[in-house]
Amino acid sequence: MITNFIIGSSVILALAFVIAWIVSPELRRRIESPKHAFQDQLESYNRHCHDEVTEREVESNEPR
Amino acid sequence: MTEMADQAPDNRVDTQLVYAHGIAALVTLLIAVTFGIIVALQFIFPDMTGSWLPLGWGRLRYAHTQGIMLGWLGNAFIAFLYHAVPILTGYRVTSHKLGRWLFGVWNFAVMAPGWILVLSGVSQPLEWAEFPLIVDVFVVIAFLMAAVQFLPPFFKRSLEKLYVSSWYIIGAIVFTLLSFPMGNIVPEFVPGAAGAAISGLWIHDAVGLFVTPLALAILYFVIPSSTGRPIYSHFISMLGFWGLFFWYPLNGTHHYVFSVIPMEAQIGAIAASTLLGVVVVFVVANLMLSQRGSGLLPKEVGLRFASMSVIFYLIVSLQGASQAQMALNQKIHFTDWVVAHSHLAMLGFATFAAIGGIVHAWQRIPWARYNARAIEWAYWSLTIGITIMFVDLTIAGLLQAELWQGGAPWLESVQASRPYWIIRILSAIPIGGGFVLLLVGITTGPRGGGAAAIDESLTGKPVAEVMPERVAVSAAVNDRDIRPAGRGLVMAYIVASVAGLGFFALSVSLLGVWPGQVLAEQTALMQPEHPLVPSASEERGRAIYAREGCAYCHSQQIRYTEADIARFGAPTLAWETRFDYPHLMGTRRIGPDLSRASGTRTENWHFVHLFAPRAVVPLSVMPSYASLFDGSPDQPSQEARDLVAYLESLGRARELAWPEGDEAARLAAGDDKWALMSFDAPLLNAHPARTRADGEVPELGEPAAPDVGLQLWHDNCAGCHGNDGRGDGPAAAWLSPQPTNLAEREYTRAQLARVLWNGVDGTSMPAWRDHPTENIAALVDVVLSQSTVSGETGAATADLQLGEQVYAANCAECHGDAGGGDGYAANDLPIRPTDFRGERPSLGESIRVLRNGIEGTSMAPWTDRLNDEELVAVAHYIRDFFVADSQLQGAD
Repeated sequence: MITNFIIGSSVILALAFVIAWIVSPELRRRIESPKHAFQDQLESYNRHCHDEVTEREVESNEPR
Repeated sequence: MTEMADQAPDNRVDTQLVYAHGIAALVTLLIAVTFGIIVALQFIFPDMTGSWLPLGWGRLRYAHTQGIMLGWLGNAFIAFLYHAVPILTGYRVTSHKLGRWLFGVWNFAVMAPGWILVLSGVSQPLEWAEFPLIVDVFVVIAFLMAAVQFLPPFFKRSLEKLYVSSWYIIGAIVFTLLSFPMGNIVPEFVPGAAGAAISGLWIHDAVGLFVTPLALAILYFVIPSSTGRPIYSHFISMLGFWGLFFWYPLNGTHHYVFSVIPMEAQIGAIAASTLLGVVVVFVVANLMLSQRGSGLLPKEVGLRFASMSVIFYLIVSLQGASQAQMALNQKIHFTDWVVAHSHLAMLGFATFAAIGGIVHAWQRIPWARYNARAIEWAYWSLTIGITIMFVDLTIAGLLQAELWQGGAPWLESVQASRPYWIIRILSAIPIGGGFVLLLVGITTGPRGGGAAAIDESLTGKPVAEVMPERVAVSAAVNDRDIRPAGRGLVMAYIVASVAGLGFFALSVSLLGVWPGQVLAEQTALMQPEHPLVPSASEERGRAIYAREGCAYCHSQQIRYTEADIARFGAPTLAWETRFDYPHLMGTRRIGPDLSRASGTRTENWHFVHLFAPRAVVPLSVMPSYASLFDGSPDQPSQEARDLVAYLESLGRARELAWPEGDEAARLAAGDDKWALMSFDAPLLNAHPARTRADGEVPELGEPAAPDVGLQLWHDNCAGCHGNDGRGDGPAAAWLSPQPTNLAEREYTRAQLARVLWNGVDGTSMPAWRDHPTENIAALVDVVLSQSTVSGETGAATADLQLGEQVYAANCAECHGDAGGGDGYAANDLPIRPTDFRGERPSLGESIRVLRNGIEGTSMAPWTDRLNDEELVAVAHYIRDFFVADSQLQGAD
């Protein structure tokens, strides 16, 4: 009984995902969007870190 | 000034807290690994820490696993969360001050006292839950603080905008808050197998709901950050997220396959384990595709750690799914295969992900020192070390499985494992060295030295050139307002929360609560009418057994498999564990299962074995517990007495119920084929060392080669009987009765075969029925060759007549009229009298025994009742009973 339940619910879960993916182009675009937004946040942060390090390097190289 | 995050987006990372937890992670890692290395060394040098209990194997083993999970991975994950959460959400974590408190609680209210208490003997004998309950309370407090610190920023974003790492972080914190108390506290109050069902859930939840989600959060973060490109598919990543959180909690019972836990729950867990393996393939494929273009060996070291973590994750997950299958599980469970598996999970997959996260964050702390070369070397050192350890222990596990399945003597598997345990120790050199290099890497070098890695990700080709479709999609998404209305946002969170909590509740109901109910029903049906309640001494002994980690080497569950039934006896029934708070079923067998230890050894043997294990079992790797004695096995402390009392109680209740009680229980079991398997076992206690008064002895046949016999002698017999059989081995003086001086006796082959096959009831001489008959025959040859008795002249007829009179008047009632050890009083004696037909002491030895008696037996000194002339006469007389093999052959 437990095994049937686990396998049955697994099939339903997987099918729900796949059918939603197939029938809805809008969903496809929406579900992929976080990775692009995240990438923008990452690059912005990396650039910020890079700039900060560069500033520190410039400061430490300045004659005292 | 308020420290709460402002509503305006602010993705500043609290680098101080990243740094603090990063350093704490490495420090606790080095301490935990040191514990692990000492534990590994003790397999080869069991006496290396003396018998000082705080550095005993069991306590160090407890400290090792908790140190790796909570000290190392816990701190590393928190360090990463401080780096990742602001970037993922665009908001700072809740409070710097709260962060300082969290750091303090995690390291000074959990780790430091946890280790001190465990090494002091305050612990609980539950896998991945060894810290005592008081420390568990602080772990829960710490997780609540982590929830307040890290979760609010996520709830400022709509679900649709949450990146997969965010989902994993939320899931890990929420689910660990639920599963940690369940796995660490509930088994203390639910006895035996029912408690084990809950404990099994936590063993997997610790990995599946705490370690894996946070490791995957790091991988999904570091890979796109280092490659400069988004992951391959966010859809697959979310499919993986929901799949993992659905199936992981349903895996737990696969740690107790073939146990008394209902088979329905076991098979459900096996099915879930298989499905989990399928999901992991998707997750890994997605992560690997996300690294496309980075090459097999990425240049950036943080990414390289992450990349290797992905490979380890694939291997360990497929291995996990396969070892849950019954065909493989019945062979490799309890072996080093499982130890290899858990090390690959925690030191391979999770540790490499955690290092990838720390290195990644460190590269972005402008003021942090960063030694690129040391970290580069750390990568290679760790990769080589962990690969060696994994392959080595996997092979060791297969070897142990083969020997156990084939019914080989237990110590043969211990002896065969030694080369692999040595290699494991050697693998600690690159592993320990790698971790030291890692610490050097993040504490030396120029400040801001990690920025070079960021440079590389920024100076690659423009994103539009690499992935033009990404720019298009990103722009399209930005053009639309994908944030649902306020009510929709709330509903979405509610649906996701209900789904997640539902998964957890489902796993606990199906694999924890329901099996517990079934086991309670079985117990009520099958237990004896008046079950034996443990005495106060046995209860105290049980606490000592738990405190010293005995259950981590000696399981207490005879599984429903042919190999277990043949080696140990009838499989464990639910009611047999009903007084176990918490359960001590165990997941590893370095020594044999102890479910039916009762009546297998003498109390005296147990004391000597605990005091000096290698004195009675020369090949044993068990640590000494001499500190439980006042300098000698003859002087056990109350703790030693309690521990032995507990050992003597194991399996006794079932033994006393057998066979009448079992017959009633069999009727109650109805057609439960698994329960019937236990009732139909040929022997309730099949321990090969268990002595038997009159066991049938098989035909020994041709002996093995003489050198085999000698080796067997030194490996098994010399500890008591000495190298030359003179009864003067290291354990001899502590045993009562002392081991026989074989050099002073002659034997028939049949008599030696009887003693070796059945042992000597009531003494510490065990049976050796697990050895092949040709080896027993070779041992017979060794004993015969040790006899120095020869050329002794016979007595005068007058002496023999006097001897006969004395014998009939004083000795025959025990030794029998014909010297066969079968006098009318023999059956009432705890140790059977000598059978003089098969054993002939030298004249000198006979007179010594008559004068001094044999301590520990019913043979008393006779000097107060017989004069010298009578003593000598009877000594001569008993020697005439002996029927040598040559005489038997002549008669034939």
